[in-house]
Amino acid sequence: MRAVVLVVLCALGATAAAAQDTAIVIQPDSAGFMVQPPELPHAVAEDAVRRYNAATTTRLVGRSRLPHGNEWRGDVAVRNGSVVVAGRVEGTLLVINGDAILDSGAVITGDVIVIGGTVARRPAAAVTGDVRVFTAPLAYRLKGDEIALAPPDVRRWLRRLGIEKSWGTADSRSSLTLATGGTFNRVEGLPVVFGPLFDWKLHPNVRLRIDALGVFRTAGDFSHKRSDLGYLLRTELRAGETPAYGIEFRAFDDVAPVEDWGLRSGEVGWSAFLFQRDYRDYYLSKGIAGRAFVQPERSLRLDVDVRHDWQTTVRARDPWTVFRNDQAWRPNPPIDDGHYTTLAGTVTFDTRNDRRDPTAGWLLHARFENSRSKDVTPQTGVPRAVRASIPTDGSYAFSRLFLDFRRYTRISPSGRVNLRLFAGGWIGGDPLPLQQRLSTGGPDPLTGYGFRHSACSGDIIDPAFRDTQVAACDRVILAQAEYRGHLSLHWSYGSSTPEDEGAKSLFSLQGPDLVVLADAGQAWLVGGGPGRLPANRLPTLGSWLADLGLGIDWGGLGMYVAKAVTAGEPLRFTLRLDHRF
Amino acid sequence: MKSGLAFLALLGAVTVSRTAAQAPALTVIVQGGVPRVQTTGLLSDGKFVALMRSGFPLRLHYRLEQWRSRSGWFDQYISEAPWDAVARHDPLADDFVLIRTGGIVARYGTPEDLERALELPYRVNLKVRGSGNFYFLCRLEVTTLNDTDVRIAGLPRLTLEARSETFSRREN
Repeated sequence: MRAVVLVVLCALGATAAAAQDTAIVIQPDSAGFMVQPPELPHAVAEDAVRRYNAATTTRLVGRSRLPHGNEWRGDVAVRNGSVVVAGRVEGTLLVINGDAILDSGAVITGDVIVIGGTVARRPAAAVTGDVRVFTAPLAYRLKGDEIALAPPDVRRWLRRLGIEKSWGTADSRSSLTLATGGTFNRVEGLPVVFGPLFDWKLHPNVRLRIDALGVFRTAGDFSHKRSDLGYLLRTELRAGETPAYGIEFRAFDDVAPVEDWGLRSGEVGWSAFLFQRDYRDYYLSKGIAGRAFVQPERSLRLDVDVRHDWQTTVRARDPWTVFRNDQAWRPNPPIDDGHYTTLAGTVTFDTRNDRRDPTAGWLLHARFENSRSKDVTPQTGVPRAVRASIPTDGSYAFSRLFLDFRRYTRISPSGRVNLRLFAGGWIGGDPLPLQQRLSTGGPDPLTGYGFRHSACSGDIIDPAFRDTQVAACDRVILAQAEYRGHLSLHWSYGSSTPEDEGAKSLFSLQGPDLVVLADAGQAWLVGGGPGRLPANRLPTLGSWLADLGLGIDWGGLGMYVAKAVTAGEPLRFTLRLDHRF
Repeated sequence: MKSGLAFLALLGAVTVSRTAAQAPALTVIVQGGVPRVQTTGLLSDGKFVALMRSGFPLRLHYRLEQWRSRSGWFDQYISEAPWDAVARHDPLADDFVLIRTGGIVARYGTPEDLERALELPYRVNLKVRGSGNFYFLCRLEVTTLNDTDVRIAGLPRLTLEARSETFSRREN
């Protein structure tokens, strides 16, 4: 009896031990480890909807089965369920958000198209046409017996308002687009782009993309040198994903921003549209450009750009805004007109674990530019106290260098420290033209200071620059640090069982980040004389502008309050639509 | 009287216990240097079940990070392992489909069965190399497959984060 009890106990013990070991094993190094975030090509989605809604298509809902010896005539579409086919389908089989299992004996005379699922087929199953599988599900809504595409992603749509009509397949796609292009600003108003886009898969690993877009400026003709229409012709040939390499050619007639390294484009646009505060200056750029890039691995990318363009001054118009519409816009400052040829090289090393919301990793970005102009027409209103004369004998050349280093570090389960060092500006050659000069001040990156607090433009008194707050510095340096502590709105300690005795507290993260921030930086003129620094010197720490602040960041939507610590500035509030950096 | 109070206390304890058990939770346990990740109570409040019955598939995105604990301010990020699971409701069969990493598909008749399946722990073979003090940090994001729409519509979205105990490893 005792022996029987021991045997039973051993068996139970083994069972219990086996039960305790029940776990799903994740092998991080194995292939196919990650379920990729779904993204169904628009053309495929439209094609699926068209096929499903076709009058000749037999529609089935839910799990379906065609037994051996049976036959479906005509195209068949199944949605929201798997289909097991052991019989004959005289047509195309479309499965939406389900799997297709083709048993032995299955015969399909058309194509098999599976969206949001997989295909399993026995060797004996016969498919006359193509088998196309898209693992991403189809987002649709019901319209009676038919289906229609679900509403588009509202956030993406808001970021780039517009409509796009596509044709083709996943391999090759043609689209006609009508959308906003870029940012609402005081020079163009709301630029609207329209035209066709082509994307062809030339080879399993090679894609060719061609965009031919017109740009309509709603604010009207602003230069008296051209029409209200601009354009962007772009063609890109790309091979591979990682490693990847490719070339690009562009022809453009575009409004380009001066100093685009502060606030994001979306923030600048909404600020201008709502509050009539445009935090950028602009110039017209018309020309051609070429680019070659290589990305040997996911984290590393090298780019070489060549650009030849005509850059010219544009005036601010008076586009309508929601608030302060009766006030005058800040004038757009003039630039040094001319044809410029620019050669640039960019190195990007990016190990961030998440591009949108990184919590760990590095971003190292370095860019060197060398520009030349044979016909530059310098603005005469810039005194020598700000910059030396620009040669007009065809020898004008200058170089700029930009470095942007960021480190994202988690220091506790809910706490992170993010650091950024940014430096850039003149590195050699003749003085910089006005459109390549720099400044610093609020609302980004120095939140505690006013817009272009340090702009080196105090000596520019020419009427052409009145009220422009033109950025005129040669160099800028900036250090930013922030601590992010997650405010856990639903946190509780979990009960510990003997098995997880060592586990620490459990908490859920559904609240915002509390941000404690500190910024310091300065912009300055390079050279000899009062108010300037030699090229091999940095401003002394005592002369840096600095601020401290607090903020709440809820997935990018943030509100910050900051106070300058080196000058008698008021407390400043800033609303952001994205993380600071 | 005493027995009545004891009954009330017991009832209260059971209620508290049930409430605590219903809160979604994520744990990371280290056994022999190998992390085990487990979620509990994900579906207990019914929000996600209702969402699935309305045709929204759920996506569970796990990200397990390995960290080296250091004496200074900054711990060192070493590596990470992400994986996913997708759960949806099949309206005709009135059951729930769970697709795990690697395409393993299983069907469950009730939300409770699905929840039990979701509570099955993951053993992640994230190798710990070198000597020092280490810990694991896991983040789970539960969203619908078109999560950007969900945020706009105000539908539920859940993020859980948990950290394991710190453990030492010495390399010979």
